[in-house]
Amino acid sequence: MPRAWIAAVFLMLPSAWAQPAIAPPLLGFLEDSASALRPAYGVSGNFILGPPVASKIVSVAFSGSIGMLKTDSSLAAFDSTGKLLASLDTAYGPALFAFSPAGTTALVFIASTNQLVEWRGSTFAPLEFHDQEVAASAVLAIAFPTPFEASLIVQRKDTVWEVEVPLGAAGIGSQKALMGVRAPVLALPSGQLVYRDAAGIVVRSPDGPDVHIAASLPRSFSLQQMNQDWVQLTDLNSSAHFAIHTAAGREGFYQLPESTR
Amino acid sequence: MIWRTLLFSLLLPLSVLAQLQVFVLNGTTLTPVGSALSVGPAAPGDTIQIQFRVQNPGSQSVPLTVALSSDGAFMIQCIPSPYVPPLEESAFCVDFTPTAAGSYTASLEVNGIIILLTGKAVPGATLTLSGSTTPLAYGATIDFGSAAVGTTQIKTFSLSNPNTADVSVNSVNVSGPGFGGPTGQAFPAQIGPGQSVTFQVSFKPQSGTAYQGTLTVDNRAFTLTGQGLDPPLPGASIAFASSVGASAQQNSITIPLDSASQVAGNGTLTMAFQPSVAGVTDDAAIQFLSGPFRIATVNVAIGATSATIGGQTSMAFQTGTTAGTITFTLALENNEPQQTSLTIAPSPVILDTANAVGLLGSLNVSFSGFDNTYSASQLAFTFYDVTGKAVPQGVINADAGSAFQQYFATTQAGGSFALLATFPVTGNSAEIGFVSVQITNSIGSTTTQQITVAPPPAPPIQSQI
Repeated sequence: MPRAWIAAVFLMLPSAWAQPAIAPPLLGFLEDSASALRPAYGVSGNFILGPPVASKIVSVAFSGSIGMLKTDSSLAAFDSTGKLLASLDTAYGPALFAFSPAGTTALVFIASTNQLVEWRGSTFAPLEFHDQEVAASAVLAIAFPTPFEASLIVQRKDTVWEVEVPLGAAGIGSQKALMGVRAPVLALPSGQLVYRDAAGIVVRSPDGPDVHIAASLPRSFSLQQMNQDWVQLTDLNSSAHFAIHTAAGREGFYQLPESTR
Repeated sequence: MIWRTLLFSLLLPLSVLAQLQVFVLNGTTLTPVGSALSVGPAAPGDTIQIQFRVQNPGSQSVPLTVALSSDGAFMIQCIPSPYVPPLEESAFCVDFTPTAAGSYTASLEVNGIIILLTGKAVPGATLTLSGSTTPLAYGATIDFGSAAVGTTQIKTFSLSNPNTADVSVNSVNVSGPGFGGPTGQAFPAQIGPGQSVTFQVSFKPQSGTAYQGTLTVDNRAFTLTGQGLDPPLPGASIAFASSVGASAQQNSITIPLDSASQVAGNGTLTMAFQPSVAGVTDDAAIQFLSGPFRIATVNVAIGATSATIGGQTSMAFQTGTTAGTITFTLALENNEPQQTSLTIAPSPVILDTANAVGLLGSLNVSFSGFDNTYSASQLAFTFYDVTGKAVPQGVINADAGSAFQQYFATTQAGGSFALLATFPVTGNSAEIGFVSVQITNSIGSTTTQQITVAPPPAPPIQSQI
């Protein structure tokens, strides 16, 4: 064993990093108060909004490597430079997004038609989805834990449920009540759930304790994934935007700038 | 008899001249003037001003000629215009200033219309402002100037008898909102020759507006004026939620007032940044988080003990990633501008994220953070095997100073940066379990904890649809 790593490290080429790539730190993409798509740069506590790269955004999410955006009548994928990769005409209204754990494929749920669309890395592919029970529920968020399964997080009366939906098969799989979870809620590719409680934001990890982030939250807001460790919180009654850092040990709640110079 | 004539060309027929009508103005009331007009009585030395209006009801412009034949007590004071336009009027005035008790007459001619002016002067007291020897003319305006709401301005008047016999002042009255008095002297009052009495009139405004009143001494009226001023805003200060000056912080400002405000007011709160890094002029990330970039409106409501900033009780701002001084300037109306600064001290590099991924044939180490001195240079990578033991080659050093300088010279991201270093690997990169990074700038060095080298991401697997 020691011989193996010695060989490996010995052949590293120090000259290779003599010219490291240095760039502004991309924190993700967000929808600003004018419904434009902007990159956000910086570090925790210091945010800089880049110039708009798309407009008339209804919903947006970014995994860290690819992004999904929904305008009123189309769905599009973009890369980490904001470049459009592909688009698809769709029904009107907002969409929910979920990325695979690697962040390279995505699911899109279009609420107005209860339609699921998959981003397969280079193209969009509509999926069959006809569950009447789920369709009658209010879908709050979706997750894409495996290539063969979607999770729909739905509101049924006072309880939030997670319903597993096999992709390519009829019916639904298992379902469980998410005790203590309150809308709005966002499911991240890491398996984390982000939702509100009385004192702020809760980040619930599948294999760890809930993390509570103290925050003074707007009365009503939406949650969108900015990056793998960042969530955008949008006040639905003002132009204020916030960012939630969900990385383990670095959780935090910040306000995003409204304006740029 | 002294004739004073204002004569303008008179070439039009009398039928045209006869169209003119003469009025006298009393306050806001116009009264037609007949063949005679009585003025007074006035005390010797007082002046009564008679305001005349000459109206032209015809359709043609009419030249205006005004002439006065007087014994000296009457005098044209305001010169009329040479023409009266159709359906308009021209104004002039005549002062009656008797020098001694008695009767006075004058003949006023307006385009052939003869008006007999008679005036009477009776012994009386002259009114002066305390400290002045100039008698106040009949109808004069006494200005109390400006006074803050709730405060009182007082003027003292003197009634003097320049005559050789006693004079009586029967009444002195003050009217009009904000004005009070008279005080200091009861009326009626008898004033002997060469004697005088004084009284006071007060002005106490209740709001920040203009005031007007009247002082009446027997049958003589004087106009009182004054301007109310709103009280000033209470003193205000700039308070930070955190007094710690550091980069990449979100802080907030409140503006407490020294006392509950009696008035509403507004102003601005601006922020400016002076970098302490040579060659750096600004950091665009230093800004207010709500509203415009570096300016916010400040409002003070009546009864408030703190001001609102941009409509909020506090205003959040971020401190950027450049060392220097952030200065806030509070400018409230009628208050001296105030400045408070927050110094952002230079610090070693602060790292925000750090990741390492083993790929086929290479290993990527990436980290992001900020260097508020823009002086990052030395990098040191230490690799460890999967058991956490450092590999034999030890620390791999490199000078990234020129790369950082090139980056900082062009970026709009202040001192923040993301760095990606790729290490080609021959062999199995999965044998490398951890890496730590040390980065040095002009203030010191920062070393990460051991970063776990993650396996390469799995290729996309598509659903079976």
